[in-house]
Amino acid sequence: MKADPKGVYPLILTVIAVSIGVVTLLSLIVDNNVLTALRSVFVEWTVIVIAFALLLGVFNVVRVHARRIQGGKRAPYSVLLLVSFLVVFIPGIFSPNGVPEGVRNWVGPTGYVVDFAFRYVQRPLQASLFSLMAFFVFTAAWRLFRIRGAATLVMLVAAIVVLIGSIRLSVGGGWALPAALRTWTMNVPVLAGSRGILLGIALGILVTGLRLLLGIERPYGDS
Amino acid sequence: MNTTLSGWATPVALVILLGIACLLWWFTWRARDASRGTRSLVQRFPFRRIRAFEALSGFLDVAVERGKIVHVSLGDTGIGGSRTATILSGLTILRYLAERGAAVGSAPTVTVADPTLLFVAQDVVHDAHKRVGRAAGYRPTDVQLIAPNPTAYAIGAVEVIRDESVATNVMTGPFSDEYLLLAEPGAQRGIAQVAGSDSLNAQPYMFATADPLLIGEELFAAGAYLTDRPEHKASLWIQDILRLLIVAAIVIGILIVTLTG
Repeated sequence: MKADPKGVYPLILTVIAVSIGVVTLLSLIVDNNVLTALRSVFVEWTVIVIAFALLLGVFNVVRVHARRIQGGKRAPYSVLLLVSFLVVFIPGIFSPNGVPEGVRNWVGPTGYVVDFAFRYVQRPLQASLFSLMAFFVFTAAWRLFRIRGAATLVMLVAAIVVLIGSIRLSVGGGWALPAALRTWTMNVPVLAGSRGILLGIALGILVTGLRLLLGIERPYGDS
Repeated sequence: MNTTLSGWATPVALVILLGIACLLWWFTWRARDASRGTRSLVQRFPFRRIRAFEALSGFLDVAVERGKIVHVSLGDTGIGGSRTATILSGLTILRYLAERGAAVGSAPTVTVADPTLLFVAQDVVHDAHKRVGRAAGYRPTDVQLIAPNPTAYAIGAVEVIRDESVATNVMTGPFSDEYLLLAEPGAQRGIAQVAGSDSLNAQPYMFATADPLLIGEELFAAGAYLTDRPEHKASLWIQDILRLLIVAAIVIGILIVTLTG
């Protein structure tokens, strides 16, 4: 009797995935040297797979932007992205030991070129963009307070209480009440709500994880 | 680093895990049994309405009618970390949107921040095209890797959202504070936005920029609401049972502490 490859293939994948998952989970619960060693091997495999995924991800970026350039849609940005990518990528992949003395400090993942790109281009840009968050928070809050109902009112009151309570003013000891109100707001309703949300999320993660570990759900090759 | 449990915690953890696993199997088996399972369980324990899941279908229809597309963001991390379960829930929503979109020739544009997620998302979209018999309509570039960094990802994905052809923005998965950089331009443009995350930091920003939104564990209910899969329905019932047990334990704990001083 010939086995149906369409049925065997997902079964093999499931057995492999479930076995690795169960061994990894058990190694975190039970103190056993064999399980710990196996977990280390699986983690090493994962790192190798991730490295290849990163390389293939680079191809995806190049492909998407090459298509944009071809179509003329936001082409200048895509050209800039690809040029920047090549300027950082090409010096970055060379080993300093395999190049002439004169350019040794310029290449490699810690060479001048990559270091310059991260230190003087990416980090300042990232910090500048992140600083825009303050304005975004303001506009988002403004829109929220205009369009929502009772929930917005609660949020507004809580925000005012926390803001006023956070201001450190010495008004003859009269600031104790706002500060106490702030502490109570953060420690009672806010903490209770946060814990409720976190408990729900933890349960969701637990059950989703078990579903995968038991092979009940198979996102890998599952049609 | 020794991460294993010690003392009484090991058998307790194993018993709890085994107990939940047995419950999961039993509920899935019950839900699979169409004659006395799915109907009776659904009738006895119906799910409450979640507006975000109801709205998804409508948003997709409106986008298709206007000849526009849906953008799906799957969060700012990848598969393999502690937030993999959250990403899988986002992928369930993507599968739903991709199947419905592929059927009418309007598959969503997906952006991811991690190469490990890129191939999984591509597989989901490709599989959705195959399921509806339109495998030829699949384009690998519909799923785009932006950057493996939350800020860079948010800024890169905004370029996609700012595109006039995007009518709906669905952001489900792990996000950090940078979520606001991603969502605010869409909110300013007035496009429909649906959001859900396991991050407490991102929740207030989601409240301000998305409507409807998935709060906390609602994201993990995606499979039960959007698919007919019994294992997802079983998961949701088990989550509810476990929540009730935790609430009971908290109440009993409070009573014991109060009464015993």
